[in-house]
Amino acid sequence: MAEPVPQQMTASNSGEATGGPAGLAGSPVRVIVPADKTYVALVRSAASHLGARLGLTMQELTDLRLAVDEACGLLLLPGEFDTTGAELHCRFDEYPDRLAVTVSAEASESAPDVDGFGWNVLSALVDELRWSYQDGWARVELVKRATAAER
Amino acid sequence: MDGLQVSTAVVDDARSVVSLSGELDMATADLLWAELEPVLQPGRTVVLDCARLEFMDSTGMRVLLRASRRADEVGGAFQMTAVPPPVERVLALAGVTSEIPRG
Repeated sequence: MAEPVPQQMTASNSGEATGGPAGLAGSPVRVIVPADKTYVALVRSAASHLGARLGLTMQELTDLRLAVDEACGLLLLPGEFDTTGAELHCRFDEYPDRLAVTVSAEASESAPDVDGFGWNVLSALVDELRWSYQDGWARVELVKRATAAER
Repeated sequence: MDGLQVSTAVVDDARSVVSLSGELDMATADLLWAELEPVLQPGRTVVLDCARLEFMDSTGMRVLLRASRRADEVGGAFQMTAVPPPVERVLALAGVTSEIPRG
C-alpha cells in the first residue's frame, strides 16, 4: 500500500524534534487514493499503523484515526473545500515524538467550513491544525504528538 | 475496507433493534439512514445497538442526530445502546452526548 519505509530507528526520543523528519524514516510515507469517500478507510488504516509505530496510546490512536478521517472529509464532503481533482494525496511525516499529516487535493479556490462539526471535532483532536489554499491545491495539515514519547 | 453492516430486528409492534457492525463514516452514513428511515415510525422505539461499531466520524454522527430528530417529529423514539468509547468520544467532542437517549 505505502512505499517501503527504511528501518533506521534513531537512538533516543530526546525531544529534539525540530527540523526535518529525524525519526523513524528518512522520507515521508505517501498514500494516494481516489478522491472518493470509499477510500478514506484506507487512509485511516495507514494513519493507525503509523501512529502505532510512534507509540501512541489507545486514546491517541483513536483520536488520530478520527482526525485523519475528518481531515479527508474537509476535502471530500459538500460544504467544505471544493475539490476538483481525482486524487486525494496523504503525506505522513514521522518524527520521534509526533506524526505530521498533510491531506491535499486539487481544488477550485475555496475554504473548509470552520464553524462546522468536522473542523471543530478535528481541532479538538490534534496538537496543531491549519488549512491552506495555494496554487490550485487545498491542504489540511495536522500534527499529533505522542505523550508517551516525551520521556 | 470493512464497511458497515446493518441488521434490523423487529422485536414487537413497538420496538425495533438496529445493530451496527464495522465503521460508520462518510462512505457508509447513507446506508445507515436508508435502514433507519423506514423504521422511525410513530409509537415505535428504535434502539441502535452499537456494541460492534468500531468507528464513527462526524458524518456518521449527523445521521444519528437526524434519526433522533425524525423520531421526535413523528412521535417515536430513538435510542443508542452499548456505545463504545471511540463513538462516545465523537458525541462528546461535538457536544451532543445528551441529545440521544441511551436505551
